[in-house]
Parts: sequence; C-alpha cells; structure tokens
Amino acid sequence: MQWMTVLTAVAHTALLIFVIGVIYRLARWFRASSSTNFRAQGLSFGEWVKVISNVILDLVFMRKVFRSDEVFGTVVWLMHMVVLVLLVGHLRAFGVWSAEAIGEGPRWLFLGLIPTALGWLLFFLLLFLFVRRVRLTPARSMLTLGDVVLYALLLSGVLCGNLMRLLPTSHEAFQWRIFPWLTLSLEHAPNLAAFSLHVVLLSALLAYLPFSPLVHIFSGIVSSILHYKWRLQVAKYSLGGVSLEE
Amino acid sequence: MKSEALPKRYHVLNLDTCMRCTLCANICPTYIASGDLKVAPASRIKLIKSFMEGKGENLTRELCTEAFRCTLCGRCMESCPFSIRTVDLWYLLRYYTCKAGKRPETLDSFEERLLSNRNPYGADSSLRTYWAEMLGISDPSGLTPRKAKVVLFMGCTPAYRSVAQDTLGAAVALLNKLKESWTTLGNDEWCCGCPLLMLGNREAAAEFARHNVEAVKAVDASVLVTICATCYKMFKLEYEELLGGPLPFKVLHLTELLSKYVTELKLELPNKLDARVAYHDPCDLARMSWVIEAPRILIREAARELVELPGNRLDTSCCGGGGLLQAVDNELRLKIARKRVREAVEAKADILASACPACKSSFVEAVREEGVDIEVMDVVELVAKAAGLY
Repeated sequence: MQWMTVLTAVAHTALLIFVIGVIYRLARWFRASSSTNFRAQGLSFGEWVKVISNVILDLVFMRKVFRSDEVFGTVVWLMHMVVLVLLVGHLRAFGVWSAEAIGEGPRWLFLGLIPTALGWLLFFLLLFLFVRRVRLTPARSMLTLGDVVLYALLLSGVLCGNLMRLLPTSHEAFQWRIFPWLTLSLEHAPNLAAFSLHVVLLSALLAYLPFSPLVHIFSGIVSSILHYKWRLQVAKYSLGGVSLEE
Repeated sequence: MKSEALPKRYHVLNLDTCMRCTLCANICPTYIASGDLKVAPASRIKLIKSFMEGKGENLTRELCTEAFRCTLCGRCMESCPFSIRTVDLWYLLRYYTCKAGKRPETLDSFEERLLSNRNPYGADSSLRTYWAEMLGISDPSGLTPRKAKVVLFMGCTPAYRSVAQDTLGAAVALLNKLKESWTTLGNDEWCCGCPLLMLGNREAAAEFARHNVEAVKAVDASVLVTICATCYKMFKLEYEELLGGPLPFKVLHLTELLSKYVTELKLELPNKLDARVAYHDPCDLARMSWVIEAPRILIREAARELVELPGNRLDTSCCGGGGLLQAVDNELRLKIARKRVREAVEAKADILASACPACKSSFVEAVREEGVDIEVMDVVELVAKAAGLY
C-alpha cells in the first residue's frame, strides 16, 4: 500500500505542475499585447456558425491534414479518435459511466477485446508518427529534445497500459483513491508493475503537457477560431465594399 | 500613431500551437523550388523562437537572411492544421531581424533608396507620372492631383517599371471611358509602405501610410483604387493597424470596380479576345484579401475561355515575386515563376493573366527564360483590349 501512496503523490504532483503550467501559458499569452481588431467588425450568429463549422471540419475531421497528405491524415485522425475512445473508456474506472447495460455476452468484446486492440493500435499509430518525424527531412530538422521526450512518454506510457493486462494479473478487485473525490476502481487488479509505470509515465506527460507542443489541444482551437473569424471579416470587407457610394 | 508592442497575443499563441508537423513545407514555393531546408517554414519558426527567447544575439546575419528568402505568399497558412497565420509570423521575424540589425546588407541599401526616393526602385520621386509620357498618353488630365471621387493609386512597379506600365495605361483609358471622376496623387504618391513592412521597418511603413492617407484626404477622394495586389492588401488590411484607426475612404482593387461596371452593363466589351486565358490569383489579392471572383468575371467577359491553373483561389501558388525575394535571391524567384509558367503552358493557355504587377513582372521574365509562346497580361489590360481601348 505504501507504493500506492507514492503513486498518489506522483499523480498529485503532476496535477499541480499541470495547473501551474496552464497558468504559465495563459499568462504568457495574455502578457502579449492584443491586436487591433480588424475593422472592429463583430460577427453575426450565422457567421459564427460558419466559423465553428470550419473549425470542426479542420479539427474534428482534420480536413486540412487529409488534403495535404492522405496517409498522414488517416493516421493522425485515427490516432486522435482512438485517444478519445480510450479516454472515455478510462472514465468507467472512475465511475463516470457504467458498463451494466452491456450484457454478459458482448462484455468480453466491448470491455476486453476492443480496448486492448485500440491500445495496441494507438501504440503503432504513435510509432508511425514518430518514425515519420525522424524520416522526413523537414520534420527531422524540427525535432527537438522536447519532442523526443514527448514521444517517449507517449509510447512507453501506452505500452505499459497495454502490458497491464498481458502480464500476470490478479482476479481481486482493485481500488486506488487518488483524491477524496476521485477513486479508480477496477474489477480485476492489473499487473502492478506495468500499472505503476503507466501511471508514472502518463502523470509525467500530464505535467509536461502545458510546456510541450501538446498544448495545441487547447491553443489549436483558439488559433483556428481566430483564423476563420479573421477570414470572414476580410471576406465581408472585400465582398461588401464594391461600391463607390459612401 | 498608436504605439505597437510586438509580439502580439496571437503571435505567441500561434507559435505555441505549431506542432511542427511540417505539412507547410510540402506546399511552400521556396522550399519546393530550392529543396533547401533553411527556407522551409519550419526553419523560420525556429528563428522566431530564438528571437523571442532572447537568443537573437547568437544568430548570424547569414542565418537571418533566410527570413527574407520567402515570398510571404501565405500558402503555408492554408495547409496548417491549426490555421496558424504564418504570414504574420514571417513579418514578425523580419521585424526582429531588422531590430537586431541582422538583415542582409543588400536590403539595407534597398531600404535607404526606398526611404529617400519613396519608391523601391531608387527612381527620382518626381518622375512618378513620367510613365504617361512614355506611353504617349495625350490627355494627362487626372494625372495631376485634383479634387475627384476616385484616386488611382499607381503603385511603384507600374509607375517605374516598363513591364507594368501598360497596366497603368489601360487603367487610365478605362477610367476615362467610364467617365469616372478620378485623379492620381501625382508625385505626392509614396510607396504604399509594404516593402518597408517586409523589411521589418514598421515605423517607416506607418509614416508612409500616414502620408498617403493625408494625400488622399487632400484631393477629397472617397475611393482609392489600386492595380497592385500588394498595395491593395496594404491599404485594406495593414493601414488601419499601422495608423490605429479606420481609413476615411474605401479601398478597391481595379478589378473589383471594373467587374461591378461589367456586371451592371455599364462597361461593354465588344472586342472579346479569341484566347484561352489562364488566371493566376495573386497571393495578396486572393488568399490575403479574398478578391477571387472579380478578375474571373472580367476574364469570362473579355476572353473566349478562362482556364484554372492547379493551385488557385485561396490555394493559389506563388509567382515568386513577393516578399522582396527578388532582392535577396532572384534565381529562386525565377525558378518559382518558371514553374507557374510551365503550368500555364501545360494548360494550353494563350495568355497568362494576373492582377498584380509583381506577378506580371516575374512571369514576363520567366516566359523569356523558358522560351515558351505565351503572352503575359494583367486582367486590366485584357479588359481594356476587349473594350477596344488598347
């Protein structure tokens, strides 16, 4: 149980660093001067719908990435979707949703095979992305130590997550109280070594997130919104301006 | 002028957002043409970060030169998954490079000429309307500043470079035919200031902007018309930010004005050209300012057929003539232009048309180097020809 205390401390520390990091990022952004709003034109509801739909096309369906490189687009889109599904899956362990509605029959499929397959799929998709970064000349030229650390944390964290169920486990139920309001409950205890490494590595990733390029998870949304807002304002200005009258 | 603090919030946010996927390199015209990693957008991101982290001192002048081996076409913006406004970052980089005194030396002398003569060609500023004499325009009324509704902003390339002077001649002929109340600013017209922004000298660009706005006010014009895509973008998108307030007049590209007249049947084009015209969207007009359909409307009316080139509209490919690339690496500029000319030839076009004197200038040289049989024209010239004026 002492080991679990260490893991709890690791998770707490990671969350604290994450919060500090987010504050640092926000401070960095807000410290810079704001730009003059182009023509200070506001957008109507309909125009906001256009902005948001373009942002959804770009970020959820990764339109631009597909257009640029279909293979890369497929891998990146799949990777993000798998991460999303796995994150939702993890929420079951925290009691956010329950699998009671899933009958005994398909249980092994939805709670066993599919998550396991997705875990390995994620690992190979990440590996593909890392290999691409290393092989493509322009991408390699931009590779920093920070990126390597990021990929190392991601790959090893996911690998350990996958190994949790492959390595010897116990049939006993497992509980880990991370915060008084947050408890992880598993029906069967995972392999403790793999689980511990999974927690440590992904806690490190969480702590590193605000300082790493992963910050695009938040800033990418803002940057896309700003772009399409600007685009629409320019278009409005151009298309509405062909008149010689005041 | 409103005091400016750089970087701005969206600069920092955009830089932090870059995932370094390098998709931008796949479509960057300078990188594609040169294969040189140093000119890829990703390398410029590295340079900006160095400046922002206070490590600009360690950068050599040679390395900083790479900031200027870019056409500022903004195509990278279109491929970015997060729509990072990369062009703004490239301008920011040039600003830092200028402040650090690490611009290529050739650009320092270029700037000196620009500041003293008010044009980037070092030509005497009192000769800004001399093109009219060279073209033999018999009725120069309008060329001397006078009170009028429309100001024709000539632009430095059309005013001083013979390759683009025909466009000015065509513009004047069309404005006269339309019986428009028009004038130029004469020798009081200064460069729009965009080359100064490209050099990173925002203060001087603002000074030029202030002067031009005052000159337009002096002739009581309510509309300013340009034939240059870059001047247009400068007036339309940059002046307000540089001057900290809205402009007291409207800004139109001449193709916008002409397409309005054509669609309202106020301008007839009886001498429709029997030619296939490939239209090249100037980056500053299409991608940056969203003027996309007006030139197409004109070409459809003025010629038999409009041909779309690969990479058009917002995804337009660059002509190579932007961003002062000519001053830093003319060979690279021509490589880019030649590729575009080859695309037009492959499209079996008789005419390669654009709506920007910088594009025209690059294409004319590229056609000569390629040794191909294709005419290069500005859309305004095409319209003037179809109107029987030219």
